[in-house]
Amino acid sequence: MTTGKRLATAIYNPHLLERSDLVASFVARHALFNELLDDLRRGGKQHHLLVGARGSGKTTLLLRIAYGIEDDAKLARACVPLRFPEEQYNVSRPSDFWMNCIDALTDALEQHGDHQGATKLDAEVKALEDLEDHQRATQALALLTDWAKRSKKMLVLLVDNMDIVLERLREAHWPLREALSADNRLVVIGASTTFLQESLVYESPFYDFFHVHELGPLPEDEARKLVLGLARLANTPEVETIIAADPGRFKALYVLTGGMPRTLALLHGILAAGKNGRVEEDLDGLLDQLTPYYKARFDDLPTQSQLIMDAVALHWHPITAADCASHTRLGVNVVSAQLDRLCRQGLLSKVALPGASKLGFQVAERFFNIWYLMRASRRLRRRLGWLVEFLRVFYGEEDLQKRAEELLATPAGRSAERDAAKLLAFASAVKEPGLRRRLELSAVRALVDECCGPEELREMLELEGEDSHLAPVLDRVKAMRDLRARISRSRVVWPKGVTAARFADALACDPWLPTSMKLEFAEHISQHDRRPCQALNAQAASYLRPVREDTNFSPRILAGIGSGELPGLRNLATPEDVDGFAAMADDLGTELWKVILSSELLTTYQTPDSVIRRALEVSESIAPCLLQIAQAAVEAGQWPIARRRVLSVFEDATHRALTPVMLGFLQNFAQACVRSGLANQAADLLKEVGREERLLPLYEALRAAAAGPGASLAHLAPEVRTPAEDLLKFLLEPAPPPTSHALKGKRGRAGRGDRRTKRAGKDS
Amino acid sequence: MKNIIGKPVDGANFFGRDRELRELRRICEDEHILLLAPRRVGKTSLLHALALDVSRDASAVGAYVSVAAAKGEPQFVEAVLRSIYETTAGKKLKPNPIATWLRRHGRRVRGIKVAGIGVDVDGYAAEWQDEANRAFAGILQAKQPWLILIDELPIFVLTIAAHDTTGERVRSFLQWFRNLRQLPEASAKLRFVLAGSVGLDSVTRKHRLTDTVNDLRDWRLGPYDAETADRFLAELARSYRMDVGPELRRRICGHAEWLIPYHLQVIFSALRDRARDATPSEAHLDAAIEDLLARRTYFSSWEERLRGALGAPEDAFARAILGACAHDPRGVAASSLQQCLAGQVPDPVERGKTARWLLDVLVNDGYLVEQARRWRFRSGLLRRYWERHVP
Repeated sequence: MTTGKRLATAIYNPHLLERSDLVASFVARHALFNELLDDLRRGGKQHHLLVGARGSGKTTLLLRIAYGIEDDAKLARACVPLRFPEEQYNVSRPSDFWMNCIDALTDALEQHGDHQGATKLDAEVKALEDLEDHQRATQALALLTDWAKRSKKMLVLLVDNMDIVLERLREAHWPLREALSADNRLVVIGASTTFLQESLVYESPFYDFFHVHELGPLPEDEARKLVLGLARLANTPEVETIIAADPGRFKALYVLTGGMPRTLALLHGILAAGKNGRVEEDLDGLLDQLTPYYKARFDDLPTQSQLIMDAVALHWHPITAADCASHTRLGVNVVSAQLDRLCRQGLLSKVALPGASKLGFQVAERFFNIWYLMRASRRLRRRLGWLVEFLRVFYGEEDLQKRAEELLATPAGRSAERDAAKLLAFASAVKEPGLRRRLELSAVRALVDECCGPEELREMLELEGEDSHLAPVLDRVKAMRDLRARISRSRVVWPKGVTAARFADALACDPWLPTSMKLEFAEHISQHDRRPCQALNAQAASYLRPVREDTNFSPRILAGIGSGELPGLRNLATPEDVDGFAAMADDLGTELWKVILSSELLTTYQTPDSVIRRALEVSESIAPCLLQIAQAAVEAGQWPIARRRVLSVFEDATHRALTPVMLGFLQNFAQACVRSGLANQAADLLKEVGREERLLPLYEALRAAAAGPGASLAHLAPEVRTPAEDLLKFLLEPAPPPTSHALKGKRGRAGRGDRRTKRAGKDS
Repeated sequence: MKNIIGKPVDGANFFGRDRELRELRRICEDEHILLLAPRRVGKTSLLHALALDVSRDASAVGAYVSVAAAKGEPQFVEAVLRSIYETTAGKKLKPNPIATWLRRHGRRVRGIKVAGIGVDVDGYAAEWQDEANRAFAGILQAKQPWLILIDELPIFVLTIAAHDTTGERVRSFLQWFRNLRQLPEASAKLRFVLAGSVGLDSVTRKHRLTDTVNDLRDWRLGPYDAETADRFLAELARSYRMDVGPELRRRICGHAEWLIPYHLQVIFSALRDRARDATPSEAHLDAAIEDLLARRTYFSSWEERLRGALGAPEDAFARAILGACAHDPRGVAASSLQQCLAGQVPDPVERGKTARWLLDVLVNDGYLVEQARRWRFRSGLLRRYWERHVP
């Protein structure tokens, strides 16, 4: 077996490592290792406790200490390290513990070739077997200490899972303490995943008894040394290359590993396996490797503990006992007890909450938490919520955007769920709304393409929460898929040159038809039999002109409408819809103008205010568009709508410059108001938006127009009077003959829209 | 000198208690002593040193024993006797094991009725007391005087009290022990130093047994004085070859507040960890203190225990007292502490009783110590944690 394979196998069980491999791979925690050996060199007499979460390197350190003693001539003369199985399952009484110590001593003697000594000890132990338990404990301890005294050696008890051992010996703590307090050449170096309860309780025999050393996360430089050390040992130079070439990537991965040596060792394995530089894929590999281990740990927990772990893990950030109780619907006392127990087991850790005296609880091993989120949570955003923070840190704003674009261009992977989860994670991470929207829409498309049913989608997306804005998108995307499916299933005899796919595409991409009508049409077609349908032919013919050649809108927008990612122009309902159009527009200002104008005209000015506001935020060019809409609304006798649209342009927008284009549309609006007998209202409106000073000539002209013929502007200062008089003349010009509200220059298309509007007779 | 945290020390590692040692020796000549001190002050180390001291100059034979593990009176007696028999002088006094066996088992059954229906057995109490009296009688026949140092006696008393709701067993034991101490032949040859950290007085008060311990001279072991603490740190620094100057030592003492060796050792150890091979500085010390305070699990357990141990509303009262003490490293006078409770316990008589009871609990549970009529946190680090984090 190669060194690399051995290292990989022994990740969860350092006892399996060859001595030389363990010593060579021990590159972190040197300071503590040296301190402990130094303490032994000074004569021991101090018991130590190593406290650290699972995977922090406690067992490895204990083994290293054993080898360190044996390899140091002076220490080897003065000490004998006693090694025990990692879990001393057979310990339930003090006699068991001391007998285990004697066994360990016998093993040590055998290992060092002292077979005679080992045999003698074995014989002495045999004599104890028939004794009553208390006697056996006393005699076994005496045997041990007598041996130490005779040999003039310290016995260094390297006890892993010290907390479990003490728990099993809870009835015998005082005798154990007394044995360890006596000057009998016994030194304990124990390891525990948590602070020993016994060392925290004032009345407890072991209160403040041990010199505690916390094995916290490795700092970044030590973590790097560890991984590089493993790379050298396992002969994986590619890992060294990756770390040297991309220190940022290592840093980000280091953050996720929490500086835990075990997870760092796994990370080495993943980097060595060779990936294409995508850190998210590194993580996928790492999580795959950890699954058997973490699953086993989780499955071993009793049901109630699993419930608590579930709540804490899904929360990701530290959670108080009260909040955990609320999530799990268990009593606070029950939850508190379980949380404490899980802390003692090392599965959870207590964390200071900012600005509060209470502590929160979180999964101690952060990678375990990540694993749990990835495997156990169906909510995609929650699953990768941690990834969002990571992406922001790792990529930085600019690269994040680039990476997000790359992701959009990447073909679908094996798992649509994973793809969707990543897309949503990036969507949460990026700032630019258009890019965010595209990522979200891609995620939705991936899920719908995977034929995820409604129940599955509800599990994966928080359609009543954070993802509520995606609910209508999901519905549309499914509807467009449904539409295409119906048409493709239909048995209509298509006219020459027309195919079901072309027809479906044209129908779906039509921006003017409401969705409900498209579906109705598709249903109508799907019910036709093989007989040719003249009316249908005519309709089909009208759709033959590829919609995508419609130059009103970009091909991407039309495709977006066709796929359902974007609503039709009658169906603009949310600010996110605006973002969607903005994301797909080639010429943002112009296309968004057309979208908003079309929406207003098609819905008779029923576009939601939130959509209008969002459009204004996205593009300043919407401001004149709204003035144009206000003009049309006045002409249609809809003063309240017109007023609202003008207000939306100017309220909370004192910074908004009055460009010549805006001034032009404002004047047109004013003219329409005068023609509709609303001159005074228009003037009042200017005052309401605080622009009467800035637009004094127009304001005065409106007042004069309202006052009727003979109104004079003579009272105005010359610099105001002259433009006011010009404007008054303009305002009083007679109206031209009526024209349609369609977009100028697109009369044919607009005409079709009108006919459809009449036929529909309703909004969607 | 080695920095040994947690375990009793001896030899070169026992430092700074010469005055206390001399005082104890002087008192021991005439009186039995009840040595009380909070945990981790160094009682056990002092007892060991006292045993060694008297043995060295042969003024007495010193025998140390801890009785915390004893489950009952026979085990108590066995542990004490074993500690005596393990001394050089005591080896000769150990009774013949066969005679002991015969005595035990021969006495156990006085008679068996015909057809094995009944067995007449000696009373339990009489047996262990008889054994003990006989053994001590033998010990007192020896020429040399004995100084028996019994550690964790209150723990043992609490153990038997836990199974003894009437207090009869505790009374019987303490009365027997008092009688032993009061034997005329024991007055010059048998001296006891009984040590503990948990309040023996609270047990004796509860069961109205104060008359069983009123022959003991109450003696308290406190912290180092400033000068001794400074010398202690200087010696530690010297043995670890660290350059810890007077100002830094003063600051260490400032952080420890209550100058017991344990607190000084913990901070010294953390400073060593921070400084590594560099010359320790104030920045290292500040960082070391923050490292120690970062052990939230350790400190928060003190806070959580109040809730569990006292329940409402007493835990709120206790917090009020601790909150007041947290603001002043020198502690707070009892009268001021009572005022803390004024809002919650309006009646002054009730308030006084509550405050006294709470202070007892807080002292027994290791939160506070009394020094110069002021109540202060036993641990400077705990005080700092409380001040920062507990509202």
